[in-house]
Amino acid sequence: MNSEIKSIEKNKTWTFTELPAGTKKIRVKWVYKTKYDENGKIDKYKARLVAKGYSQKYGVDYTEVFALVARMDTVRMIIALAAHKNWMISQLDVKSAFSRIEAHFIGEGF
Amino acid sequence: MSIYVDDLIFTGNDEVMLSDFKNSMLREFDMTDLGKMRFFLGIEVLQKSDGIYICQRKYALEVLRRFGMMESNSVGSPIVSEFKISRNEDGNTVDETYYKQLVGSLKYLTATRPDMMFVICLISRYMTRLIEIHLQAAKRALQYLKGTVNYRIHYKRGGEGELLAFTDNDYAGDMEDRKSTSSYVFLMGSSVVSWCSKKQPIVTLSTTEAEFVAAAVCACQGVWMKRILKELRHSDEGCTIIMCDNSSTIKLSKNPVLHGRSKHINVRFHFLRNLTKKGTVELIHCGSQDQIVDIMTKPLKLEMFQKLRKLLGVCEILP
Repeated sequence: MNSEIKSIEKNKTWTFTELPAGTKKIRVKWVYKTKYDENGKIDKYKARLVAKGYSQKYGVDYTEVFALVARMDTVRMIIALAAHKNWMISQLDVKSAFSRIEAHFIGEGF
Repeated sequence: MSIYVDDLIFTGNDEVMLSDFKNSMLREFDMTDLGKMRFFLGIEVLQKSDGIYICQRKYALEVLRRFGMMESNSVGSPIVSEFKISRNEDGNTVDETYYKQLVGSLKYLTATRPDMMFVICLISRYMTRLIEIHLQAAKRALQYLKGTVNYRIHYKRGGEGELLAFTDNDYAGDMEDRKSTSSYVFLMGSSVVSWCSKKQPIVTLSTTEAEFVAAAVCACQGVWMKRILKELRHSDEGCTIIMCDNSSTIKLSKNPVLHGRSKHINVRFHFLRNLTKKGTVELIHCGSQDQIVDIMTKPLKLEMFQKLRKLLGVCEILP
């Protein structure tokens, strides 16, 4: 939980704003999750702050949702290409990916 | 580099550039360096000196545990040869929710298991009025999975980087609506990178037409894959070769004759012919014995199944 708060602070995700006229607040909640690695051992405990987005309505509260995903075909093609060219593939993981989304949420405590 | 929401993988030949890139990413964003790619979207990646292996062993075991099949006997092939099921048969009904969960769980396995693609596609066509025979087919797929959890796709190091496509269909394979299943497989080097097995949206009147529909789908994928490879700076300018076992389809793609039996094949016909004329794709004949994609179109006999599975680059590696 602390690392999530730190990450949120570091990314400057949040600012305090006034509630725009005619909009509702969205409550937020903490979700706790235990992450396992590929051997089934406990990797890390994760805390994530989520906005209760289900209280929003499409067109009323938001209009566009988009997340970048890669197709499985592309992933396999990269792996095949790396094997062909004798390369190593490295991997990075973004901490708290969703806090990078520019969302104009107005949260209320936790 | 490939990004899936918050996981990203990258590769390249220049060590300095890669570490520069990594450091700048680490500086710019709050990231964890996971080192060599090992686990991506539930897919286990093993990078060894003789090649890169991918599998979903952990996920497969989880599925088996969830559906109580850990202790079951394993079988050699995922589906009995010549097996047919249809929609309206009599028999005891089964729990639909259970079946749907089972099919849903199996579906993700198609990401690294081309050998199970056909059976998973087949059982996922039936979602209502389920009887025991459907569940039995699904259970058999699980039994097969039980015996093959250690199977992985092997991408050989330093192999050839040529793309080679295979396409085929089973003419009027569906017993009820007589639609065909079109399927394709793309090999890069000696291992499979992309595959599909899908029932065609239209009813076709001849095997040639069904093959045409399948070849057009395959050509689309080929064009897209070429574009991605170009983006990845993989210089492979030549045309995509599509292996097809129907010689009249090949003739029709080259020679613009419209005779009585093909004049109704409209859009796909012209699309494929256009691509052939431009030299983007080329259809080449191959014998039915070398048709790798058969593994995606019909239930095969055990020896044939094992032979084709090997040709796809799927092999067993113990962890």
